[in-house]
Amino acid sequence: MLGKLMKYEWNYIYKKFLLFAGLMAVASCVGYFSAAQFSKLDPDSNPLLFMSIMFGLMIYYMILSGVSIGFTIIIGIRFYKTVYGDRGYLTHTLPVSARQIYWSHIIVDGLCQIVLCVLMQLSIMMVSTRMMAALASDITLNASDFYMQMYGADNPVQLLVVIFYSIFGTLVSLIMVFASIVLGQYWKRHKVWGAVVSYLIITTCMMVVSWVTLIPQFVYYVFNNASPDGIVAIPSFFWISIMLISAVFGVVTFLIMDHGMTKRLNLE
Amino acid sequence: MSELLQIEELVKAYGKGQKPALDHISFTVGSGRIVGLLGPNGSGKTTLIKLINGLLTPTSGKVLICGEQPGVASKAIISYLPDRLSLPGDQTIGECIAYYRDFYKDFDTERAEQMLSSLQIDRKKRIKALSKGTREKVQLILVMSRRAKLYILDEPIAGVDPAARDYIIRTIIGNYDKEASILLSTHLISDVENILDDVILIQDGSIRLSSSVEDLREEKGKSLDAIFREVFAC
Amino acid sequence: MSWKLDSDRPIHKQLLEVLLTGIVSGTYPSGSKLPSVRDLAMEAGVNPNTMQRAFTELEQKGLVRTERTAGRFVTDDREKIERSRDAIATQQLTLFLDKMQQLGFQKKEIVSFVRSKIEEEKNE
Repeated sequence: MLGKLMKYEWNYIYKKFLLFAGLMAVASCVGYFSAAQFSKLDPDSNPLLFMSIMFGLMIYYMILSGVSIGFTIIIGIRFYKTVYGDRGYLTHTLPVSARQIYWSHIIVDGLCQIVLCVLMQLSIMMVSTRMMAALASDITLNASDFYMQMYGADNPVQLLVVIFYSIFGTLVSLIMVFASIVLGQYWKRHKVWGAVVSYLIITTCMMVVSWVTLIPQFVYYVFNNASPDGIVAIPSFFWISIMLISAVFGVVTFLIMDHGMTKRLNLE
Repeated sequence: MSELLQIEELVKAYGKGQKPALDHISFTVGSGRIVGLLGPNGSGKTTLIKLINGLLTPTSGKVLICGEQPGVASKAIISYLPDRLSLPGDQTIGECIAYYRDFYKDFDTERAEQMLSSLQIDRKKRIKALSKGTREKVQLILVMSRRAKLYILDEPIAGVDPAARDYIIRTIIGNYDKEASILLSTHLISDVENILDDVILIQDGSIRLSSSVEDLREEKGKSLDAIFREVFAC
Repeated sequence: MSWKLDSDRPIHKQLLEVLLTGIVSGTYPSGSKLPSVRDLAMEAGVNPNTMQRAFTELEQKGLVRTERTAGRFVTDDREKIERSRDAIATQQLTLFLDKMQQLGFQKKEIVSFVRSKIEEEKNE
């Protein structure tokens, strides 16, 4: 039954996925093209070119952020409609368990979200390397060097850890969205606003916890390890802390979602 | 040997201080019966139906379908027609049929196609493009095309024109099976009273009356419609 | 068959009346096979269990017999059907006579009244 649920979920989401991936491709072209013009960048001699390059990069950035946020919203709306809307009457009377229902969403929508995330990383890498090449044509930067610089990884293993975190983080964020929707149902009225507020509360808690645990660690590290020119690479324990926090929040919100859907279902 | 549907001291309360929506309801439905669940708006009919379908969790008491609490097994043998449109708007009727066939082993595709054609409904149309009456007919066709053990129909004829009502009632009769039962909730009593075996009248979360319809006619010399009006007079 | 049913009275009794009328009038001839309970229930717009109850009563009266695999048949016993027809007709006649007497008709008057009305109908 889980396979069947996943099949129908895929039939719905792949069209949205392709749409967003397409948007990202278009944005990447705009960004790439703007980045390539960087060599001719000179605000004084050609202000129009300067503005159009900046505009192009801004569009690139906005579309990329938009894709990320937009896809999450679409997944959230889909979950809400399928589980709690009028359509919920059909979904919950199928011979499936509530767990199979949410797993089908997590697996299929999560996979699409992860792929989009990867594509986004590739896009950023492509555009940034092109920009660097345009700025200083004598420096050749290959992909892994670029990544290691950007994420402060000293070796490929750390880089993999960072990549793993992005994937893991995407799934945690997805589960948090679903849990917020489940929590929103406990509001007597305005269940949608309840979901939004729950989401804000959860993400704020996570941010607060992150700051509280990470800033002291970071400050301590900087005092003991700063190199003379003030450049500091992000230490790997940093990433471990972030991942632990994500894991804890992920597990807690997952349990909230599970409990809400299996034991406390109350379809309007 | 457990009954098809057993409700034991069922209570559903929404808030601590509030009056419960269902207050210690108990009844049994055997197989091969067509039972009417009648009552004014807000009487608790829909709450009861949702509890049987596992869409709500009880505050206390039991809902047992063939001896089991609502779950995956009970959903496989219950065919439910909700009082709202629950079909996906962007799908075609044909796609909905495929969906039902995919999830329900007891779905009879031929029957569904035959009912669609006798009502002259085009299976290629999208749900959102259909009129309200047609959408209701399609939902009913999908529900009645299953060979389920318990059919729960929440207002099956309310939004439909009189000619279609006759068709629907005849379909319900024609679908009759000794091994299955139908629980029918409606306020259009005079239309359905001739097909009911038993009736349960609910008001304010409690059962006011539970009896075979023929016995009531014998006893009171009145139609079910008239009895209802008496019991629930404003 | 005309299935005009009145929701104020038990349906199974009314179904029995209609079926009896059908049998004694020859609509369901002696020895013939009756439609299934479900088909008749659909025709009449009633619950199959109720129709079944009417059939069971017919069987008890001996007017219908069930052959397990073949279905239900009207009895071959034509005399029995005749007797039932007589019984129903007698009932109707008794009601008629009572009513006519209530209207003040004498017995001789009733017979000539009936005769003249039938003559009128023949001439129309």
